[in-house]
Amino acid sequence: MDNKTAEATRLWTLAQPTISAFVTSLVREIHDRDDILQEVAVAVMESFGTYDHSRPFVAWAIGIARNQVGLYFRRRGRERLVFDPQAMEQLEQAFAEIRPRDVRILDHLEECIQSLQNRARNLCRLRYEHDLKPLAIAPRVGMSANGVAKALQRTRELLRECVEKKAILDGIAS
Amino acid sequence: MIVDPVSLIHGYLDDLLSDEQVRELNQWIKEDPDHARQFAAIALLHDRLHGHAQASSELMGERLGAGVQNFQDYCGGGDSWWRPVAVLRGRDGRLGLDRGRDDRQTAGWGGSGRRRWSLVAVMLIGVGLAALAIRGARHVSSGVEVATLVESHNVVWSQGQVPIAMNMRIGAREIRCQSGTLKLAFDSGAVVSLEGPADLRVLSGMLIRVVRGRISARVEDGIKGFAIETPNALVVDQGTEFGVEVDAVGQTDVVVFEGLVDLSCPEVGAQPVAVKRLKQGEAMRVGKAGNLSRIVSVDRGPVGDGWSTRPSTERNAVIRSVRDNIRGLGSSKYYEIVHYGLDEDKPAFVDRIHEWNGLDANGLPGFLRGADYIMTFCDDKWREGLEITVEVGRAATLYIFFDDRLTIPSWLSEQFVNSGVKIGLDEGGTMPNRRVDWVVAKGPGQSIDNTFSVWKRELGRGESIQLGALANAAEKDRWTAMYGIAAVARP
Repeated sequence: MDNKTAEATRLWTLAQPTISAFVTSLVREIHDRDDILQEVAVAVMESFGTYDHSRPFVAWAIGIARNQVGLYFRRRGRERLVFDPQAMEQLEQAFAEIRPRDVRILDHLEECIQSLQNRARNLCRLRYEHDLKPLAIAPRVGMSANGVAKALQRTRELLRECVEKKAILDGIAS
Repeated sequence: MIVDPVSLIHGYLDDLLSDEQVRELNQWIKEDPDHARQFAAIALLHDRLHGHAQASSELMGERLGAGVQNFQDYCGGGDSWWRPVAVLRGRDGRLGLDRGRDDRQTAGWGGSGRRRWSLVAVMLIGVGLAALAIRGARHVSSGVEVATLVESHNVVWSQGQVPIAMNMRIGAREIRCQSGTLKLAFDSGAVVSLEGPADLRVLSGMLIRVVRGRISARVEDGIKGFAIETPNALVVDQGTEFGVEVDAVGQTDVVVFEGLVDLSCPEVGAQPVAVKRLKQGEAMRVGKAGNLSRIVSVDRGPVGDGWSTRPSTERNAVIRSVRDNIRGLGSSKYYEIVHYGLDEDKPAFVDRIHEWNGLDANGLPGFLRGADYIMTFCDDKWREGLEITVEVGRAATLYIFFDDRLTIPSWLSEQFVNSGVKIGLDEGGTMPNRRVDWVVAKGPGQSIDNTFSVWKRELGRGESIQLGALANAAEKDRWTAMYGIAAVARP
């Protein structure tokens, strides 16, 4: 591996969780998300020569991701993204500001999932492992779709609190 | 009702918002950079949960691919909502359904996580380097080869999919194509055809997960337990030929062409639907939310594995549709429309091993050969009040093949004329107290069991006609067979 490729790989590896979250927030079909993320990775590697090292890498890669998502929507016959340009600008800025610490504390997610009660853990399984949306989960658990959505929201909030606590115990700096 | 902005973010990520609510969220994000940061933080956690689940699935796939003995709750973990549904994996790697419960944690969300997190890391890095090096090889084989690609026609692979070459051996892997057809021969004895657009994953020699696409599977005699799972159903073969389709909106259609399958699907509200055994000639649709509905008809071409539960898209189709007055889940049987398919030894009914044949060596009359025809339900011969409506897409002559043992009903004599032509039914199968040796023969004039008169009438393009029940109550106990329906385009 030459120095340039090694540098691109290093930067991409650090940025990838953020880029993945950015793409997921715009493309909610997980299989499509995977394809787009792969295209972004390829585009980032192929155009790394044009990257201005005085700019943050994450912000540059988010720009590439935005373009790839735009291509995806155009291929699907949709002219624009879900959010308008002004909202997109705010979001791109917000994702670019995600700190390494915000990513690192999620390493505790596995332990925190284990601490969930069965019901919440099973909701997570249905939502993420089986990639089912609340409408599809609802009849399986005897709840309304809104009830499932609320329970998933509460579960994610519990997981957030849990990883934050564990990060403090581990001394991960904020 | 979702109202507060944070709930809007969660609802958006779960794809539950109305257009109006998405506009509200859009406005809220624009109002303050902190709002966008809140959105990004929640999206980061949500994405990581997806990554964790994918890594878990990878691990599960490895285990299945390696053929490890495994008892796996399907979908429910310790608190299974698929009430009786547990997938029992025997030592031979085959799947079956078990009605028991099991409180052990599954591979996905239980147990220690060191290995899974290492997989996450591999995936995260892999998306970059591997994509550059082997563009598209998103999933690698577990190393255990389980099938061979034996046919491939006009395949357009999906972006990122590494093409599979003819005669290539494959292991646990993803297969995605936009169009075309593929046929895989599994070492386990199953032959699986898939029609694009398709998105599936081979998990082992006995298990396929289908996200989207139309699959036909034929399993060798004596082999049971080959399974296809979809987002909302699990279909386990019990020795058969069957089809499974997952459409773009997430519905699963299951069609049994021969033999038996066990379909398991979630409970819906108070309805304790869980496992349903479907036999030859039966089909069922599982909605995205797990609700069941009837599939009224299945379109098939005269040759090959192609089939469809949708209205015919065949431009020159003579028979466009068929429906009846059996409502809801009153029947799980389907009519099979075979385009251009009527010929010697062709199956007559969806639920019998009976075949249409000419009465002698001259075979079927020439005007019937290559006709569109409908395989009806032989058991409907007993159904009182039956009404079948047939619609033709072109100006056509519609033919009814009517059992000569029966009294002619008024709906037939008043709407059709007897052409004077007769054809034969070669009956096969088993029937208590009837015959020991009851098999179908090959070719015209062979093993004809009963004769049928051919009635006809002309229909205009797009015209429908209503057909009735077979017989009166006095004839219900007689040996008879349901009528057949065929149509030939008029010049």
